[in-house]
Order: sequence, then structure tokens, then C-alpha cells
Amino acid sequence: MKRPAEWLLQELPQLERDGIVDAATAERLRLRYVGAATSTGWAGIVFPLLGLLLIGLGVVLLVAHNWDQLSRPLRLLLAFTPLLVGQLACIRALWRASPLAWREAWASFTAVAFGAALALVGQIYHFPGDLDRYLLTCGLVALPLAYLMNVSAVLVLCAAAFAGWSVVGLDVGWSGANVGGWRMLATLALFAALAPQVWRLARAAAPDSLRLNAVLAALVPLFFGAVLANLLRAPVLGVWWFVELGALLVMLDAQTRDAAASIWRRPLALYGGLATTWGALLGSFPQAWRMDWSSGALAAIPQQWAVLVIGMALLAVLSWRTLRSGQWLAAMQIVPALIMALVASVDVERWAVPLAIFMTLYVLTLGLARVRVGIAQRDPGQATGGLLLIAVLILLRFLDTEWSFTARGLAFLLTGAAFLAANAWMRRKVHA
Amino acid sequence: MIGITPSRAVLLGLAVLCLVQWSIPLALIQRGQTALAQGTPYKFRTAPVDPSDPFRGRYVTLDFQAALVPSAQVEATLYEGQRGYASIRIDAQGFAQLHAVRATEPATGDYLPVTLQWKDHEQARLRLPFDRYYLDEAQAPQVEQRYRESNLRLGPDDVPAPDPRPTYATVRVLDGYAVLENLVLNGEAVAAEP
Repeated sequence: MKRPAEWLLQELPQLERDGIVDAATAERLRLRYVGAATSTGWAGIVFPLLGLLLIGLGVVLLVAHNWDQLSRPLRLLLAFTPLLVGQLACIRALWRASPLAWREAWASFTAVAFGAALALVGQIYHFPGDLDRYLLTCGLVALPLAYLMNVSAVLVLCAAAFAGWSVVGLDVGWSGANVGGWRMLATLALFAALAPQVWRLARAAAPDSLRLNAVLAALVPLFFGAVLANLLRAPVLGVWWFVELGALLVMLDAQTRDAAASIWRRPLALYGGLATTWGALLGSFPQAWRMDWSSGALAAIPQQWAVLVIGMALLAVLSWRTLRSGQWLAAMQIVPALIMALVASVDVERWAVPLAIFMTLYVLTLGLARVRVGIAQRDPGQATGGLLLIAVLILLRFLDTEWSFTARGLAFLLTGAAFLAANAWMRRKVHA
Repeated sequence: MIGITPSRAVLLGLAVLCLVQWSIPLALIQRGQTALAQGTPYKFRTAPVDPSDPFRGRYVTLDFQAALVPSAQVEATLYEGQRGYASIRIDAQGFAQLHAVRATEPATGDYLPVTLQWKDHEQARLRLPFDRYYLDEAQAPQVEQRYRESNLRLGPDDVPAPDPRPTYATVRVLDGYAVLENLVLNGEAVAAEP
């Protein structure tokens, strides 16, 4: 069955001859739909990619058996064969301007083949090697491949290698002052090196492109984790980072994407919203503010503080722009990050209850605001999300108290019934 | 770029990248081969491995008695997790021992790059740059078993019981770069080809 874009392009000459569209309109239609007609679907990209990766990994496993009967030069030859095949295929794919699917597949294959060759050389010679250095080497060598082949899957492999480097490096210097510092800045620099290619993909693809969203969906949590790994010894800064990046993602989404698109096609908004909501719900517990926050923060090194403060400055600018564009619901997401920035280096134990009440009211306001916007815009998903937020908040408050099982059971039943009734009422309102 | 079209520039870039992809493992091979050919051979007496992590697939996890050094031998400013350098000397039985662990490379003599894992008042534990001996997947379980049995012949305080056929690893060291050459179990080399 032909795809609509392909069908339309075939019909255009006839439509032009019949005088239904003029030549200029036909040309504009051609320009608009030729990309859609020739583009490959997700299956067309995923199957060659998976196929070649599985073949490559199979060859690696066979070589990794470390056949005792084979001489060292022969084992080396086998270890390098997948790399050579991948390189030649990449050159051929560029030379013949192969479809995107094959460029993605061969570039990923070559990146994995390089990592495998490096590991197998180490195995054959019993070479010493640190996992963090190995991951960094693999990531750095694969990075130019993503740019030269203009592909996205290799970007994800690079990000995974960089995140792995950041996490594995933690056991080097757990008790020393070397954690953070240059490693934190290097983590940011490595992920920044991926940004131009992401930007290139974003400019070439439609905002709701599956390829772009899949890349963002993979890169964002890897970036989250890589930076968080550098802040683990100062939990207060880790939480601050979590809600700060969450708010930044929500604002970036609000500035660049169509808010009407499904949340599942907006990974920045999805991840960002989850992170800020998690932070706000955590802050609604008084116990969360009774931790020894200030000591961890004061022991942190200047680079860690610098990253968080620069992030806040960026967040302030973005939230101002978001607010000016009328997206106040998105702009509200700055609140948890703002609170964390204010209390990060202060002993807030005596302010635990007021802070918890403030965060509870914030989540409640956010939930009610989403319900209101959902009803006003006739968006059941938005309104249900708001109700869900309120329900989670109420459930958490029940868990937070010292009520008896009977009292809590009754309260849960009542809240559940109220939630169902409110949802039914709201859907009637939205569809009215 | 004068005279070069964008597609040619990309192809050129890819060719350069291919060379880089080959040069890194080849440089590793060249460095290792040089260490194997010209490096000073040392015998590192092995120690029992942690029973919870004795064997992972196709390699044998090695531990070395030389990894435990008196704390006095470790520079005071070196902190846990920091990389440093340990000088090598030979004991009366002909096995390698580590001493003088410093943050900087020693001016003379062979040394190993090490990582300080922990340190108390008496002893310090170092991570050596070699801890795995890779072998044929089918052969590995037997070698692992023999390795563990041979290392169980230790007296109190991990002092090896007198054994005419000791278990140790041979390591070649050249300019601070160490390559594991062979594993010798009860006087018998595991690999015919080092």
C-alpha cells in the first residue's frame, strides 16, 4: 500500500494537466512532500541497525572465546575484521549516498566494532586497562562518526560511553577531593560536544519526528545521570541539579515545541515534568528538610557550585521568556529549583515544616492549575494529569501521618471515590 | 575549503577517522610488544582471590601479595583512590615487591602505576595495573580451579607455605608500562605462547 505522500506525488502531473493545481502549487507540493515520500519508517531504520549490531556482537563473542588453537596474529586479524568491514561499508555508504537507515546501521556497527577491537586486543595481550579510560576512548573516537555520517544512533552510543565514564570514574577517588572538579567540567564538555549534531538533527527533522524524539529520550537521562554521578557526595546539590535540569527541560520544550503535541512525543517536557514533580513531592515531606543538607553542600567544590549557579541563571532567563510567551504553567516549574538554590547552603532544620507546607501548597496549586488549563483548553489529558498530581499528593500526606490503619483505609477510600467522581465531572465539562 | 567539495571533505574526514581507529589499538599492540620484548621480567607471587568474585567468564581474576604494602611505604599525601607510582624490588626468593609509593614517578628504577585502594595504620592496599589473565573459554574453569587450589597453600597471615613449585605471574615492565606475560601454576606455565 502506497503512503499518502507517495500517492500525492504520483497524482500531481495529472492534477496539473486537469487544471486542478497550477504549476507553482504543484512545485510547492513537491518540495513539501518529497521528503516524506522518500523517508524511511522506524522499522526501516531499526531492523538494519539491530541486524548489523547483532551480527557484529556475534562475531565479537566468537572471537572473545579466545580460541587457544589459534595463533595470536590470527586472533588479532579476526578482532580487526569487523572494524575493517564497518569502515569500508561507511565509506561506501557516504560515496553512494546510501539511505539513512544504512548509514545509521553501518556507523553504529563501526563504533561497536572499534570498541570490540580495542577490548579484544587487551584480552589477547592481557593488557592493563581501566574501564573509565576505555569508555572515554570509545566515546571520543565514535563522536566524529556521528558528525561525518550525520547519524543519531552513534550519538546515543557516545552519550552512553560518556555517562559510563562519569559513573565508573567515581570509584577512583571516592574519599579524595578529585571527585567533581575537572571531572564535572569534562562531563559537561563531552555532552556539549554532542549538542551540535543534536541541533543539526532538530533542524532537519519535524518537531514530532520519531528519530529526533528517540534520540532526545535517550540522551536526556544519560546526561542527567552523568552529571548526577559527580554530585552524589553532596545529596543536596544532587537534588538541586535534578529539579534545576528538570525545569530547564520543561522551559526548553515550552520555547521550542508545539505544546499541543502528545506528551509522549515531547521527551523534554516528560522527563523535565517528572523531575520537578518528584523534587516537589520530596520537598513536601518535613523529614526531607531535616537532613544535614548544608555540610554536604559546603564540602562541594567550586566547579560543582558554578555549574548549578550558571544553570540557575539560564533557568531565570528561560522562565522569563516562557512567562512572557504566556505559558505560565511551564514557568511555574522553576519553583522547586529556586527553593533548592535558596536553602542549599543553609541549615534549614527549623524551617522544615514551613518548607514542607509551602511545597505541598505548590504541588496543589500546580495540580489545580493543570485541571483549570485542561478544562479551558478542552484537553482531558492535561486535566487528568492535574488530578493525578493532587491525588498523589493526598496519598503521600496520608502515608506521612501517624494515623491508624482504619483511619487511613477510610481516607484512602474517600479520596479514591472523590478522585473518580471529579474525573467523571471534569470529562463531562471538557467534552461539553 | 578551497578545491574540496563538502562531500569530499566528509570522505576525507572519514578516512582520517579510520586511520585514528586503527592507530589506537595498533599503538597499544606496539607498546605491549615492546614491553614484552624489552621489558624487565618480574615474578609476582599471587594471592587467593575474593571467593565472591573468583571467576568471570573467560578470564581468571588475579590477586597479588605485592598489592599489600606497609603504610609507612605510602606517601602521606596520597589519598584513597588516587593514582600513584610504586617502585619494584626483588625479595630473597626472587619475587617482586612494591615499596615507596609516591604521587610522582621515581627518577630511577622500574615502577608500576598503582591506585591506592585503602590505608590504615599498618597496611595499605594497592590496585595493580594487571588483575586478569585471559584464556580460552573452555580452559578457563580448570585453570581457575588450579589457581585457587595452589593459592590455598598459604600459612597463617597469608604467608605462603614453603612450596618448591610456587604460583606466580610473570610481568614485563618497561618505563612504567606493565604487561602480564604468563601465569605459572605450581611451576607450570598456563600458556605455551607468552
